[in-house]
Amino acid sequence: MRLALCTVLGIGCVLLAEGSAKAQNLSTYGTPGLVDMPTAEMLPDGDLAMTGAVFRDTARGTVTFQMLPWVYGSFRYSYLRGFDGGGTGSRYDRSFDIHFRLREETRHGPAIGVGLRDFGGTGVYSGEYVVLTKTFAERWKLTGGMGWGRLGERNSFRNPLSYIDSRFETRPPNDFGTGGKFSTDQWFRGPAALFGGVEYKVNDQLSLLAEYSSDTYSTETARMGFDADFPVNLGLTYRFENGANINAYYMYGSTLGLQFSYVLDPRKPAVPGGLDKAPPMLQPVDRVALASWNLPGRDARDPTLREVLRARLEQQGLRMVGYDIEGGRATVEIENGRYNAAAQAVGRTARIMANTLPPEVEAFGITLLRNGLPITSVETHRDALYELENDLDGSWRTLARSEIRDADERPVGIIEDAYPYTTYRFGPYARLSFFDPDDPVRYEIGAAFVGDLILRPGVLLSGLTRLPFVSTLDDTTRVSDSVLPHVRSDWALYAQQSDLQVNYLTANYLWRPGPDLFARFTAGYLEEMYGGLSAELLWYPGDERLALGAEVNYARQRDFDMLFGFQDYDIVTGHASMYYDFDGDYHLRVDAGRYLAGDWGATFTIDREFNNGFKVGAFATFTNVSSEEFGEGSFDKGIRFEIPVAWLTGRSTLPKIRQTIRPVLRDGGARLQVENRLYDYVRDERAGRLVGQWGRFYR
Amino acid sequence: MRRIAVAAALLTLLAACTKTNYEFDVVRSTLQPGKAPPDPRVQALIAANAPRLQIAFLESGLAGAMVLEGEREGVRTWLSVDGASLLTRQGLIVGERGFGGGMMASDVSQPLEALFDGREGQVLRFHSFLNGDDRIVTRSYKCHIEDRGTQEIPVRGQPVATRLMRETCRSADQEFLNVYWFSQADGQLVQSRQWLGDFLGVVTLREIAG
Repeated sequence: MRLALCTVLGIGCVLLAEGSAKAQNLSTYGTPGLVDMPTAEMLPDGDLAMTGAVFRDTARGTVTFQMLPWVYGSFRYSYLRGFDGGGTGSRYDRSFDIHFRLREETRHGPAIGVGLRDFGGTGVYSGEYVVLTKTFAERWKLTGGMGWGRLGERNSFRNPLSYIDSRFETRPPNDFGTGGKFSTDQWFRGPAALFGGVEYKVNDQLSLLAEYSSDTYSTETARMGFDADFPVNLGLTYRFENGANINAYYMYGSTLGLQFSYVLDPRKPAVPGGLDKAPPMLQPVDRVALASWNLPGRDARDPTLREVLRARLEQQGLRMVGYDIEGGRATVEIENGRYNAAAQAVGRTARIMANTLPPEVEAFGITLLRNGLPITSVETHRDALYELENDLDGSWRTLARSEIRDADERPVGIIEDAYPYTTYRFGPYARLSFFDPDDPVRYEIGAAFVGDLILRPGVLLSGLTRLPFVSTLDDTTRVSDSVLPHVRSDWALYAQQSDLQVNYLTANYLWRPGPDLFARFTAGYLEEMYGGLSAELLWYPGDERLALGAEVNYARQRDFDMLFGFQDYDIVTGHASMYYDFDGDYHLRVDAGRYLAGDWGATFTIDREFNNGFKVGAFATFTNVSSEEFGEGSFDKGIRFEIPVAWLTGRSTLPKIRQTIRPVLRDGGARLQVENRLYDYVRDERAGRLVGQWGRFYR
Repeated sequence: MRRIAVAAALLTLLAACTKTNYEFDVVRSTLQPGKAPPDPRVQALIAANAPRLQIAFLESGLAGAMVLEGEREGVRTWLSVDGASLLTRQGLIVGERGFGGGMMASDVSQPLEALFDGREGQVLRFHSFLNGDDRIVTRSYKCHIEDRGTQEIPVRGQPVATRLMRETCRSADQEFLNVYWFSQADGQLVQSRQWLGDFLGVVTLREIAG
């Protein structure tokens, strides 16, 4: 622990917590550890670590996310060659881990952690541990712990917990069955064993690892002929500056192992400050006055002024659809087609208004719209811009002098030719499905056309059609064995029986029934598998953490060819939703209601949404469908990622990469996927996100 | 790793025909940095023979001329051919847009005064940066200014007698060095070497006539 120097003013006084059990190495399980054994270390808060490890007949791919400073969770997909069918079949296994820090490392005491490996899968890797790690002389990290389950196999002894409660003495056998349940009746039960090891840091790049493993690989030995008689594993790890690591191992005296890992910090995009072209500088006010359209004798209502403003905004990717000028105040309505941070769109609009409108116009009202649906208004002033454009704390001081409010009242002055309006994109697409029970990656690549026709504010026709060229989605030979109505589990039939797909084709009306209220009505082919009607109401106060919504749908299952026909199955489905923003980037969402198969229950989604829009989350749905009826996995759950494309390129764009990883897609807890759900539709332009990203106002 | 991800993202999401060609430009400038089409604003300024600033980034080796977009309340905005900008106050860098470093604004009033007075001693400077999580962080730096004597440097082929001033700055976790060459004839800043933040490092600047 070292206290860094403080500057004279005390600003930027930083505590550098060196050597406090920050993970330098990831194990073959993709979590902070040595070779196979865990350590009590943590990753830096919010980091996302991806690891791929291979050794004899085994491959493990893991994503670990440091969800909280003291908790990390992992999702793992493993391949075990010859595990099934007496050595002829291979096993694709999915497992989840969770690890809690109980104590931080101090000068004299170790870090202590407790963890559960594979706590809810089919149990191949299930094991629990308590572990201690302590740093010595900055270069040595010593780890020792006790394991249960798989980690309690070598030289095991009677479970110490059984002296407290005799139930801990025996571990019930793995059911290896449908999985997906928390195997609470196994945790910390049965014999225990000790493990330990050491990491020696040679320099900033290279570390050496040695461990005594308490895992005997008994199942692999029996089924795959693995040899783990020798208890010691050795390894070395080499770190590259960009966050990549390569590890090499000699394991159990019988196999070599190789591992690649990459640790990513969602708060560090490709380019911190962005590569967007500079906004136009604020011109001196006397130059603005000299513009031909502002010369004395010209009327502020002159259409030339409006058209100049409109053209200048268009150059910045901002479509002006409403305009009004009244005395010293001008109002514009803007469709932001470019900036993933709405504050940046507002800032550029304000600059252009100041550079274009006559100097006597001093107040600027800027309303953000999405396809004609007004979302938020920002009121700012010419003086504030001039004074603060180059101020050290300009963004926040400008915010203090601006007003952000709900945009439920529409200003007069809709520009006549602003509607109808079309947007479209035609190009390649790729669709990925990860880690299903039979194949680690399935993909579909083809051409897609997506278009919106906005007839008048809030009224839009919207469609997506795709033509797959190459697809492995339809390779699956699995036939749904679901006892529930096949509301999702026939997904392979859709892939197999379609050529040109009409993914959705809808008519929408979005409007504002009142302050802080949003409403939507949608009819048509709502999603790939269902068509029907959908209505939604959302109450979303701009400056509060809570939002509430309700949605009701009538859905009828579409034909497998994904064209215009329907099947017999239909259902009324709907949910009441609650959305809540917690401190520190956490966002909770609960949707309770009736699902597609007619089951009733609720979906819980927790996301960590970084201020720059990078999102990592997990969800689980519990309904009145029993785990037997549900089948493999027991209930619907998964993890999801959302990465703004701008995060990767450094240039503002609206598209985001979204990927959900769901162990199995089945019929229980299945929700209709309607486009333009209101909360996500308006969230980026509501006050919360707008203020959060206000630092980009002058960018 | 990241490059593969970028390429994949671009190909699947952006390599498409849309109503505007903005997204196409994004793809092109991401995959071929430095080959972005010249910004029309800049072309107009070049045609109007606006004053120029010669700059070079030491770390990336990128170099080129920037052209003056304008000046308001003592801050000059210079544009690069591809539309990035550098903001200066009497020759001292106070901000940048589009180069990626995120320097939003600065308070350099103390070093400015000391440098132009040719005075040695302690000063404070402040920079605010937009970080990768879209938050602005403000840093203060304690700087030491020294007069390093005279030096003759070539400016447009002519030797010019200059006074060399050096500014050494540090904060809790950053350290940098700025160097300035002032003309002895008229006291103007003719050349400098300044720090633009951790991401961009050091840049050299020289004003040239348009």
